[in-house]
Amino acid sequence: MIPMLVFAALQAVPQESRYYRLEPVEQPAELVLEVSGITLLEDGRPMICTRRGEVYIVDNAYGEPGTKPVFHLYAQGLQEPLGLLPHEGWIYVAQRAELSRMRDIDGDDRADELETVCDDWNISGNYHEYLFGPVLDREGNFWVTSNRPFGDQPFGSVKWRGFALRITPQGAMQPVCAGLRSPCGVATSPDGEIFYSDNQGEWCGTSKLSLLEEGMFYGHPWGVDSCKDPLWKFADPGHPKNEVLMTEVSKQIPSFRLPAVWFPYDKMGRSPSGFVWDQAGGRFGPFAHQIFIGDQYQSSVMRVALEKVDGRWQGACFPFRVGLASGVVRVGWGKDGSLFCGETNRGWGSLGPKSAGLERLVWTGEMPFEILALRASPDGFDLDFTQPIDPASAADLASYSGESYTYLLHETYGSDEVEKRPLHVSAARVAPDGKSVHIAVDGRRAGYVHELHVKLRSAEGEPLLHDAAYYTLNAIPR
Amino acid sequence: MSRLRCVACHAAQPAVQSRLRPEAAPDLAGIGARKSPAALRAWLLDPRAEKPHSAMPDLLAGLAARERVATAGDLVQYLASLGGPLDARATAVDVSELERGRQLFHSVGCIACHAAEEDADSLAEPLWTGGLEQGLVSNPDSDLKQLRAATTVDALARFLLDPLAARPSGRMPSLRLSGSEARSIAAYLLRSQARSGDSLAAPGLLCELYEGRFDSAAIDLEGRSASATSVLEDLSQLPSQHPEDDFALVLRGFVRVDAPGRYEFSTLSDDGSMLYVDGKLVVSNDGIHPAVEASGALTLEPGLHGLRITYFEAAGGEELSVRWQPPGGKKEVLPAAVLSHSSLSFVAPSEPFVADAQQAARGRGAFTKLGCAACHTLGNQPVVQPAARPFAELAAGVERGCLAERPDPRSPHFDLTPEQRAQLRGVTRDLAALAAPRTQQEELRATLARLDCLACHSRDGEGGPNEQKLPYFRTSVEVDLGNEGRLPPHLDAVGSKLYPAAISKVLLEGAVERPYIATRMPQYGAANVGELGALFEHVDGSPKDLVAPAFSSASAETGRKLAGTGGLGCIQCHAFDGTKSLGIPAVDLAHVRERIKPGWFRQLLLDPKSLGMNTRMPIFWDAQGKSAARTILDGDPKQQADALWSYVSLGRSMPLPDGLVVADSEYELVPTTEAILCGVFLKNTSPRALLVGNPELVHYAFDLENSHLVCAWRGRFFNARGTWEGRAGGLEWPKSDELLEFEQAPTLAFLSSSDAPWPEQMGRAAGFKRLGTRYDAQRRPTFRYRVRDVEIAESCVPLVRQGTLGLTRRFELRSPKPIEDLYLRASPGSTLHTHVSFSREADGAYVAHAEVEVTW
Repeated sequence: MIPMLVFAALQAVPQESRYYRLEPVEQPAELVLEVSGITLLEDGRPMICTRRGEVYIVDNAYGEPGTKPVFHLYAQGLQEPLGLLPHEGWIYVAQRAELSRMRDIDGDDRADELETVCDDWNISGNYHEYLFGPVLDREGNFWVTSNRPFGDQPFGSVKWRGFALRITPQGAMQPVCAGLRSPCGVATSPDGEIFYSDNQGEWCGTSKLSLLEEGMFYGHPWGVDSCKDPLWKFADPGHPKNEVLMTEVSKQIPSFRLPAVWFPYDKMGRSPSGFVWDQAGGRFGPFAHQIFIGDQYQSSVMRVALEKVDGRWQGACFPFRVGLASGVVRVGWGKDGSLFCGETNRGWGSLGPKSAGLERLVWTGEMPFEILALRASPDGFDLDFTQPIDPASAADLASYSGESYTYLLHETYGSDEVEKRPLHVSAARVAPDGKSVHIAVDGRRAGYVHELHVKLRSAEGEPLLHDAAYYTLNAIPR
Repeated sequence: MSRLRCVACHAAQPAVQSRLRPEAAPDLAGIGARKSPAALRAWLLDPRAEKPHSAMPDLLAGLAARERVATAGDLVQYLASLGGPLDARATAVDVSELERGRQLFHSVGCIACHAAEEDADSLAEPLWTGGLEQGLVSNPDSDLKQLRAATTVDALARFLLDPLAARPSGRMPSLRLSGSEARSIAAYLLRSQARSGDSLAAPGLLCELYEGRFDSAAIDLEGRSASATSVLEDLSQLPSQHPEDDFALVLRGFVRVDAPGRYEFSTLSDDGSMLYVDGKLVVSNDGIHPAVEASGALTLEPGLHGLRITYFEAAGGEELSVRWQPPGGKKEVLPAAVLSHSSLSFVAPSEPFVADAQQAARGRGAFTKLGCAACHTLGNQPVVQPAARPFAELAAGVERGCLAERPDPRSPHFDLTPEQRAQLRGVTRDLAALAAPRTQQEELRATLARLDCLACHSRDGEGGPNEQKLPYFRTSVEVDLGNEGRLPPHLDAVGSKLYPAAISKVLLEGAVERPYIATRMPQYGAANVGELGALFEHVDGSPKDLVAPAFSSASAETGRKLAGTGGLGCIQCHAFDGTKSLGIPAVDLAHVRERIKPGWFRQLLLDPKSLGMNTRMPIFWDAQGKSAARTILDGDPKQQADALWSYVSLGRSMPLPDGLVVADSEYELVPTTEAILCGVFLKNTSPRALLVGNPELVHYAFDLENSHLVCAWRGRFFNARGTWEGRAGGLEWPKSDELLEFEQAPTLAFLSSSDAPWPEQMGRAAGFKRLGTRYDAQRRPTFRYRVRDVEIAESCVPLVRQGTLGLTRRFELRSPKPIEDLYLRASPGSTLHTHVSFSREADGAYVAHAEVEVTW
């Protein structure tokens, strides 16, 4: 009997690894692969760049039996490249001080040529002046995001830190968004909109994912003085007031934009990074069109499902997969619908104990029991699940609990969750397909994060793999 | 009652005496040397005029007006005789001292209790921004403004150095200032004593001569005084008057900059010298050496910038000259026209004072008679309790004496409000309550309140810096440690966290656990806080705090593994016995054993939120209760926490964790088969430079910002540690004895005639635009850039010939138009330039080639 009991106990706690397994991409011992960019070449091979300024093309990256990965050094000597973008026969790359493009003319997997596309900004010699991207907009322009410096600027202070910069194919720069803090992730949605992720800190109450919209301000005052430069074609946001509720900031600064999703600190990582939309066509599991986003500190991948309400993006984030070897800074699709995770924790510790690495997250084919989506409705939320649910526990109001809160915009590092209020679920109705529930929730507040814990079971009696969801309710649908 | 020191006069039974223990009043032994007679008089006549909350009673209130003035005069004579009178002679202050004092006053902790003198934001600009006159005006809202009339820079500095000596109550604690720091703060607080007519515009630099043995230009002036002071305008040579050997010079003042841009400074010196601009080290030319030139550059905005040059001469020859190169200008001796210094002389307002021994003797009598001696000590001379009514008898007559609505003329006048009077009467009547001993909780609260600990620290939701004061709390290192890096730690349950001895070490021995916080932990003296550690332990502690897990060497080794790479990575943030972390400078874990109790340590690791630790220390366990280090101790959090305790309990004898110390060789770049390229922030050049290492062992640095060859060297290529370790961002420079620096001047220039002067402006500023890089089969780069219509492809290839290892510079130039006025200057050290002649190619373009061999 004893072995049976142990087996039952193991089954009671669902394991992420049962559904998504991690496969390290084996590296030669002498390589220090502090991955800072991942892209997929047309031939299906991943290309990665590193914080040490190297770019590699990786053969045999998919763990094909009897093979070992081979790393071809495509380029080196770049200054902390933080993103790669294949476009029109070139590989575009953001370096600290320039947007460049590279190409291999003779087909030996080595770049023969690098061109400076744009270097209309300066850097001060501060380590934190990173430049992320590039990504493409619908018109074929490139977007990059710039970090604010911390500390010494040995070559003098510079403009356009904490901005999204748009660069035309001809290399003309136009600053388009202000007030970014540490915008480590930037990506184009399948619809051609550009989103970015930002890290909690001063003037950023908790980490977030926001749509980048021309002329808008995202909260950090570090660089806003640059908005007095004629290159800035929009309203000058000015300095925000200290200690203001996030929901109130736009009264003072009309161009202030709330994020599509807040990532509550520690519950959903601490330092979100690169992200991708699931376009794997089901090969990565049931989360089509959703976002997978890395977290550097937590060494995890999180999940985000957005919807448009009142013309603005909002939605929920969910835990997805922890336990990666090091801090996840970049994610990128493989040719087989697996997700490459590029990692480093240099200078910023991570829960993952390794200092750097490249891993692949692969769906095992088994369906996890997860909240597939959480959608706002006029009187509550609709929850979709990945598997049929147990109608009794789904209709039980005690299966749902939660609270809502927001954050302060202030100079202090991070913000507590403030203005907390519990959520009251007053009704729960299971949909006829047995895979969705509508819950009526009293006391919802526009602009607030709504944290929901769901304790229901699947029709087979399994608990949810993750029972928490964090919905940023910018607007309540009418 | 403790503040008003009731039992200093009214003797009480021991229980009451201990409860109402009077706060120590200022010791008056050296009062005459600290305060001007005028200030003493004003104070005696109306103690609350300038200090509304003073607990000092008016002891002269009962006297008739004439007698009152006469007695005050006698007392002033007596007090002035105690170490005085104040030496009110003028004293010279350099404006850089003022600026330093201003920064210190607003950062070390003074403003936790005193009003800030100015907005935190304005501190980013030096005092003289907007004119020195403006900078010397005192803030009328300052609670320290009365000092201006009361004391001098040197007297105030002496007081600040050891405030507890004069004011043993601890209300004004010591901030562990050095002598020069104390003087700087004193000068800043008394800045309105600067004599009008003093100015910034005095020509030349102030030059102080120090005699003695020096071996570094990092001159510590502590405890030294200048043997001569002069003004130096000519920086092409040493001033004529100086000893032959064994001396140092400190030159101070300002350099005026008219155009924004990059300024290079250099010193040529024998022996060492250093040059600082706005407090930042720009030229380091230190050490004992023959005449050697060293330089450094920085970007400056127009205006006055603080300039400080230190120089020393040990023995042998001596030489010093200082040069600069402004943007677009020539390198030249730093001209007198841009140099100035401040000649501020501070004079305390004083009135004529003639010591009168007779009057002083009368004052001494009054001092005893009036009861001054009940509260004030005089050095070793203790207080003397006067024959006032015993405390126990006061209950019967609380409407009389000091507590009467119109106090008895013979009683001290405390200027009590009706509420205060009512409260004091009530308390006085309830002798039994006063005789009851205070609980330790009450004792603790009283101590925290008395010393205003909560002005900086929060405890149980109370206190901490308020909104106005928050911006002044700064971090002294430039990393994003957030509030943890700038705010003093909270004191919630601190007695369950720290051993009393560890608390005492901080309170009494100035131990610094968080060197990154600019605010200093004040020292209040053993008499005031000697018991505080024990009190915290009594109030907060519980027996489980001290339960340590069983120690075994195996467990300690497991803990060591957890601390390093492959474990929980404590090394990312924490130092270990002085070895720096890989990332931010969090507290040293070798000090844990002597500071932190095992129970708290365990809880911090397992559930930091339960301790109210709003810290960025990671939580290492996931929602399923599994550790991030799954392979160690089966990922069990409790066992891992205990193993870590075993490890840190080794204290300073701990073996270091894996990964904390990384050998330099891990970062050594050695080109073997093809070129190695490494992008760096290059010192004195630009933050956008590429180092190119060749297997032939001849290497070079190319500035991509300005498309300019910076230097070349032979031998070892480069160690990338500064660029690849931690958050990095080091300013790099090749380490080679065989280094050749190219001039900071353009390589190509358009000239109106071949004998026209070679321009100084170069790179981006001169219109050079980077286009990109090509790489050959050995990864050797060719740099492409454009100036006007000409596209240039520049490369450097190793030149290996019998007995020579150099570089060949190659240029290919193309233009769609004929070019007649372009010249090349590619040989280092040569001022010769050659005309670039283009020829028309078949495709219609005009093309030129040039090749220059460079050896050194």
